[in-house]
Amino acid sequence: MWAYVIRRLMLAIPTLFGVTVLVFIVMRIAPGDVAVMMMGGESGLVGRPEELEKLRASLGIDRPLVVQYVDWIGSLITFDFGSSYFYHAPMAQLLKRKLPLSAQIGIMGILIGSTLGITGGVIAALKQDTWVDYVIRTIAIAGISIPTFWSGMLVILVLIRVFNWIPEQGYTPLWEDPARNMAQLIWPTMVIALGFLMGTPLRMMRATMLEVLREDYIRTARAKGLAERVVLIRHAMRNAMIPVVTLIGIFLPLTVTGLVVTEQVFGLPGIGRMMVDAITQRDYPVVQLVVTLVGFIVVMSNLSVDMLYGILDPRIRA
Amino acid sequence: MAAQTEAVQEIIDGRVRRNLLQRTWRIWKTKPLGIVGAILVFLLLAMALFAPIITFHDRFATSAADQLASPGWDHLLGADRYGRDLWARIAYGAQISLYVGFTVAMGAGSIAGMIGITSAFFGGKIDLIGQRIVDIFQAFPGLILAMAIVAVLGFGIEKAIIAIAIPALPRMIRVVRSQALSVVKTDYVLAGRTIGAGNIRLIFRYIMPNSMAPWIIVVTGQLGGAILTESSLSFLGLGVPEPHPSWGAMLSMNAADYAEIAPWLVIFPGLFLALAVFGFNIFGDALRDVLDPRLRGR
Repeated sequence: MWAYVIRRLMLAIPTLFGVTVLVFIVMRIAPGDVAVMMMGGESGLVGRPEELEKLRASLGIDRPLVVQYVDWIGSLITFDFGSSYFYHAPMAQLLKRKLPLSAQIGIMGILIGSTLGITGGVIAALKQDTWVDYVIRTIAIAGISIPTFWSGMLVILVLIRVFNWIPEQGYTPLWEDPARNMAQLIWPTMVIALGFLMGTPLRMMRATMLEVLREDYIRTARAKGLAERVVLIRHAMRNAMIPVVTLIGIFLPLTVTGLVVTEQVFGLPGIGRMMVDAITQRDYPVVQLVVTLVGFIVVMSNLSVDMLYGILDPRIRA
Repeated sequence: MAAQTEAVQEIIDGRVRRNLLQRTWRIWKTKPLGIVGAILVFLLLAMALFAPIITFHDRFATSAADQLASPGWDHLLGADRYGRDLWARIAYGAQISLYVGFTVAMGAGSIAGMIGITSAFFGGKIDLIGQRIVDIFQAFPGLILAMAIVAVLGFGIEKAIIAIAIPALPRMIRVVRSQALSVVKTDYVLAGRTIGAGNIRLIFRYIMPNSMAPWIIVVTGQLGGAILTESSLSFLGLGVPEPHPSWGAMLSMNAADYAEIAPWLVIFPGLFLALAVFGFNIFGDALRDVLDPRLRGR
């Protein structure tokens, strides 16, 4: 087992390194000089060449690319992260303020979505090809197809028009006022939970459950007279869950994607919102940092999926 | 069960040889969701194609008198805050969605097909390095990578296409490569090599035709996703810019501001968008089940 863990860890390191190189290169292909842009374009430059040089020096973009890269990696390792062009604030501070919000919605969304998805998938598999199955599958595909920004807007619209109730805007940290925090975050959470986060595990759970139910060991379990509930929960579901675990790996990317648009709809000041603003304002350090962080999180979650798989299914370790 | 007995009966009858079209039709008869998807896709194509005929207003024409007009005889689905006809914008929006969807799917599909097959065919170092790069790209959620590319390229429809296509590549490369890998090892490829077929001939006449099914599946599967990513980008103001009638852009915060007094601005563009993505998704699912049941659930 340990050999397997170490082998997988060693494989992740070049990928993480590649992630930083890719992000760095992409951000450096950007046409136009950031410093020029910050001074208000070419017209703002006239007669102020030395100021431009000063700005470039203060941003550190007058140095060779390799030096910039090494410097950036150093800042990542020390959790310093540098500063945002636009907010003129250290990014560690920005992250500390915005991360709890996004993380909370994401975690609650994943929990609710996967619970509903796994339950729904099992029910659909047991009722295969009946109207129950078709309804559940249609809901799942609808969840995957309906853009979260649209369902979010519809939720707000229905709350306002039908219930005459304007949902609370803004964000209060959980530890300051839990009730208020929930009132603010429940709708965006439901919107992302009932979309991809429910639909994807539902479809997968249904497919694997159908396969498992045809296995010989299920017939054996039934033949030896076990109660149907025990057959389903202890024998069928436990085995069907193994492939579903891989979903943890794709959950994070899906959640991040969902958060980017959902935060925009509900006006929540989270990481996704920060990224959108940063792109509009060409705040490259922020874009670079957020994209790298997302990449890291995804690589690490894939790694933990592989480990979990190794624990659940001994055949894979070899 | 019934389908199985039927299949057995057909083997006995010696009627198993069917062409792809017959097979497709037969399986769709047992897959109602697939039919719904096909109909939705067909309607969407018709809407984009006949947009000039089925709309009665210029999609760009503003009119002070019609600002936020309610749905009615003049404006079937109402008008936006500039008085532009919503139905005209939605119908022409179908053109944008399909244009982006098909360009991304075909463009990324062709590139991924070439990379995947070459990588599998030549193997060795090329394959190893290629797969590491694919790994790195897969570390980013599609929308996030697309946003980063947009941050560099700027806004616009062609730039959005590039930004959506690049994140779509890794998964397609993976699928094509794994299929091509299994084809490369088959005896008929070896046979081809023995009778003196060159690399080019082997790739185009032996490996490519036999790697087609998964390729068609991933390309079709990409359509809905590409349309969704385009609308998300445009919704965030990072994709197709105004005044082009992209469904996502129509739903952006401008629509939200007027949602209370003009809910149709929120309801209709989103409805068409959701139906389009839904249609492509279930169409793709059914196609996958027909062409390659092994890929189910991926």
